[in-house]
Parts: sequence; C-alpha cells; structure tokens
Amino acid sequence: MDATIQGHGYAKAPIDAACWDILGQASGQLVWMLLGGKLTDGAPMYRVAPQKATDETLAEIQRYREAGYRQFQIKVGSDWAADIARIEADVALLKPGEKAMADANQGWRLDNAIRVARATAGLDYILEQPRQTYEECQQVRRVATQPMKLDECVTGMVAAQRIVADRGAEICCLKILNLCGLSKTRRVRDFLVDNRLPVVAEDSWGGEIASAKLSNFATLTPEEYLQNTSDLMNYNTRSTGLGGARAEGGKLYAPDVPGLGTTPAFEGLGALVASYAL
Amino acid sequence: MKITCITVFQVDLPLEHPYWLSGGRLKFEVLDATLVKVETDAGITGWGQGTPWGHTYVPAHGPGIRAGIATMAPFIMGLDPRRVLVVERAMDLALPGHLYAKSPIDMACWDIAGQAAGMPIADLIGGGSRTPRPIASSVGANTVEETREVMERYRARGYGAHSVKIGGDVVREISRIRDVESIRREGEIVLYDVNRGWTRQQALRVMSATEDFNVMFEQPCETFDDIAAIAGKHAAPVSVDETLVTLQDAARIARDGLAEVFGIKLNRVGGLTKAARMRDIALAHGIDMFVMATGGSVLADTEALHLAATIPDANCHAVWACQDMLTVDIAGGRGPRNIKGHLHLPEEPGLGVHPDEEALGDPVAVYS
Repeated sequence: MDATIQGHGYAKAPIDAACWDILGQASGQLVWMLLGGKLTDGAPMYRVAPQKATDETLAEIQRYREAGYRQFQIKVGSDWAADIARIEADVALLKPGEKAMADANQGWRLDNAIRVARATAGLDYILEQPRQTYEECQQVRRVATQPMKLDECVTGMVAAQRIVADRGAEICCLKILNLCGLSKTRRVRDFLVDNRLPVVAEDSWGGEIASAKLSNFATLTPEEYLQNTSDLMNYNTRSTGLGGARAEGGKLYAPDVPGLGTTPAFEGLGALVASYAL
Repeated sequence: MKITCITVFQVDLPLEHPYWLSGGRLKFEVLDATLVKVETDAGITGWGQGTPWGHTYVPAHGPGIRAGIATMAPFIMGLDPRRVLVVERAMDLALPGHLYAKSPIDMACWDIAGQAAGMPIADLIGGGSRTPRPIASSVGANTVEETREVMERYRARGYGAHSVKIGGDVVREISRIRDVESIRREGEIVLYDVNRGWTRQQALRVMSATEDFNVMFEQPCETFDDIAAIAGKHAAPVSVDETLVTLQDAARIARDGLAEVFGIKLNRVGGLTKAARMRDIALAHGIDMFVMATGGSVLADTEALHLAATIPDANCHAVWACQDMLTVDIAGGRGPRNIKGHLHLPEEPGLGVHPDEEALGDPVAVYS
C-alpha cells in the first residue's frame, strides 16, 4: 500500500484492520493474542460532561459515576472567557481519583489559550490540543502548568519522536485512522510507552468493527500507560456489526473471538459502493 | 460574482518516453490529469488542472483530487472566485490537508480573477517579468549513454537547463555526473535531482566525490532530518523539492538553513495562492527557486510560469514544460510553448490558455 500511494493513511487503515482480522481467523487466534497478549483487562473510558446548568451537569456526572466512569471531557474551544468558567465549574464537581480533560480541538486563538491556561492554573485537569500545530501547542505549554494532551498533531512516528525528544506532551492521543492503521499505530504506541508517555487509545470514529479493532488495541496497552479509550459503537444510532467490543462498568473489553471478534451487520451497511476482485 | 458550476474532467496524458525516477525505482508512462472548469454567474469561465506525477511519487493521486473536489464543492459553491483567499479558507475548513486537491480550484479562481481584471495572473499578483523563463528538461535515464542521449534530445529542442534524475547506485551516479559535467556547455544550468533516492551515506559519497564540479543536488534524501544530518559534511548547494509542502516546511528550511533553493511544485503545495507565500519566504531568506507544475498540460505549465514571472529574474532558475513530454495536447497548440528552450508569459487576461473542451471527453462530475 505504501509503495502504491504515499500518505493517505486513513485509506489504508481499514485494509490493515481486515488483514489482522483474517490473520486472526486463519490462525484461530485473538488479534490481541497475536500482538502480544492482554495488558489491560477492561480499558477505562470517559464521558463528555454536558454543557448544562450546574445542577443538571452534576446529576448527569453522578449517573456516569454510578455507571463506572471516572474521566470526564470538558468541551471547550470557542468562547475562551466562558470556557474558563466551565472548566472551573466542572473541575469543582470531581471527586478524588476522577480526571477531567478540557479539549479545545484546536479552537482557541493562541493568546486566548494562554489566558485560559493562566486563569485556571490552580485547577487539576488535562489541557488538550489548544491549537492546531505542534509549535503553537508548545507555545501555550511554556506558560501552562496543566499536563498537556496532544491529539490532532500526533500524526505518526516522526511526530511521536519529536514529542519524546522535546518532552512536548504528557499524554498522546492515538487515533488509529489518523495513524494509518493498527500496524503503524502499534509501533507509535510502543515507542511512546517505551519512553513512559501515556497514550489514549482512540479512533477518529466508527461502529462495531472499528470498536472491536480499537478494543484489541487498547487491551494491548499497559494499564499504567493507558489513559482511556472509547466505546465508539455506543455513540451511533445504527449498528454495523455483531458481537465485538463490550462496554461495561465504564470499561471497554476486547472480544474473546478469533480475529477482530466482530462480524458485519450487513443490513446496517446498505448497498455496496464498490467491489474489487482478483 | 458567484461560482455557479464546477465541472470535472479526467484525461489520461501519455508520456512520449517512459520515465524513471530515483535511479530506476519508479517508472511512469501515463499521467492521470484532472481538469476543472469553474463557471460564474458573470459569464466568466476559469480552468484549473491538477496532475500528480503518477500515484507513487508524493502523497497525491488523480482519484484523490476528484474525491477532494466532491467533498469541497458544496462549500465553495456561490463564493466569489475573485476573492481567492475566501475560497482558500473555505477549502481549508471543508477539508484539512489534501493540498493537491485544492490547487486546481485555486488555479481556476485565479484564471477568473485575471479575466475579470483584464490582466494576466502574474500582473494581478504583483507584476510579471517578461523575461522568458528557461525551461528545465527532465532527464530521466539510468546509464551514462542514455543520459547523453536524452540530454541531446532536449538540447536539439533548445533546452539550456536540465534536471538530471539520479539517485541510484553510487558508483554509477558518480560516473553519470562526471560525464554530464564533461559535456556541459557554457551557461548551461544543470540540477542533479535525487528525488529522495539516497540514504545519508549514499548522498554523502556522491556529493563528496563530485565536489570539484561544484554542482547542485535536489532532494538528496528522504526527510529534512536526513538532509540536516549531512548538511555540515558536504559542500554542495541543495534544493528541496518533495518535502517542501507547507508554509511551515518553507519556514523550517529557511530557519535551519536546510537548502539554498526551493523547488516549488504548485499542485503539491496547494496552488498559486499558497505557493506565492513560499516565494516570499524564499526571497526574504536569499533562497532561489525552480517553479514547476507537478505534471500536466500547457495549462499547468502556464500556472507555474505566472508565479515564476513574479520572482526576480536572478532568483528564478528555471521552469518546466511537462507538455513537451506528452503525446497529446488538450489546448490545440495554444498557450506558452517551448521557444528556444524558454516559455514566454502570455499577455491574455487570466491564465492565458484554455483547453479544447471536446478534447476532454465527457465530464466525470458536475456540481452546480
């Protein structure tokens, strides 16, 4: 694939996943077993803190808490002044052992990102991808005291090497689609973990098939270096796979079935858009 | 003025001679070209072209351009094409990255803006030099004999600038460089283009062995790290081509002193709008330029020529005429053509050349 078309990793990732699925089925092995075994049995997940009035937010966080969730994402990145208030309000709702991530999705202007970081200096939360480029994030980082999680700019091994060399982040989010598939994402993860940098096991989005792949990837990550993962299939209204990853008690479990551990739900997939045959 | 319709054509452009890069690693025989017609409610029509060099050369392929346009079309429909920065921003918001898919749209917008203003694009963006730009040949060959043969073929057509493709076996490439230098004529421009073909040790060995000739190498290694690692160990000027993709890349090259020359390929960097910013970075840092299409017909060559014309004569080494390598001509002989090894800036408003629409076949997509 790399010799045929350079880059375009997101187009290669599904082929890579299908090959792992076949290898697992052909060898009668679980993908996570083929790749070295289970290091995390039940990967922690997070939920997005609702953008509502404080009492409603608290009630919803309480429901997540009872369901087993201990990590909450605060969506920020538009109105920086309101974001400061939201971070203050949401962090105040946390109990010991719980974590918050404020995800700006590159949305703040540089000066405003610095203002937010300064204004919330005493609060314990993770600041996520305040700006688009790595350099801009580092510029925020020079004044921010919060741990920083990088996401969009973690594009591959070269980016990971730079982050390690600069100690440019405390947590790296690895999205399998953005990192050209399981095979390459695994290398980046191993390199980061080798350098004692925790990771988030993620994908850009997906249904049951992507979630099965993701759960295999997450379970292969050492527990102490796995920040969290996602049950992507539970965010969708349409099912595209049968079986697969299982979300329970705020944790994601990999399937115990050879291959990726899921089969397509063909009625959810609709008509074929293309078919290539030998 | 509003964009009312975007029509996309796909055309195969066969190469007259099969073409090798990187010491024979990559072979090319036909280019997959995407032609884009942008129509407006003012009756002005602009044309753009995007033609990656095959699909193995850089992260770009023909179907990718057409898929990118399908994604971006709804976001640029209705915009004023003369406001190229607004269109650029809309494309960047609709689809991050994928610069090569944006360049044909950008090109068509500049064509419209030029026609609306009654000026050639080069004049519209600040003033085009009328000094004809030397065309660099593309000497894609493997042996000493083939290299001579291809160079002679180009010389017979008036070429006085050559991009000799090297990047293979160290001993063979040293002998090819020695041979080319032995037949090099007074005033002839020769660039040795490695196209990322060498590892660090290979690059260093060739560059050291040919130091007496004082020649220039383009993209000797795969990455900026590789180029930086050998920078202090050889005396040759370096041009950066394939790894110059974004404005951030240009800034890094200038800041870290990674190269003395930019090879700006318009399709790769996302079109004229983005390429013009790279030109400014280069000029601000004493970096000279080659400006070229990534591939394509006379339309793509002309787009590059407009940018080249806005570079001071002394800083623009050469352009390229990919049209000279093709067996088909989609513009019926119109537009800037090879005259004694040079391209002359067209005086018509806009791009200055449009294709024969009937030569393009049926559209593959229409957005309106």
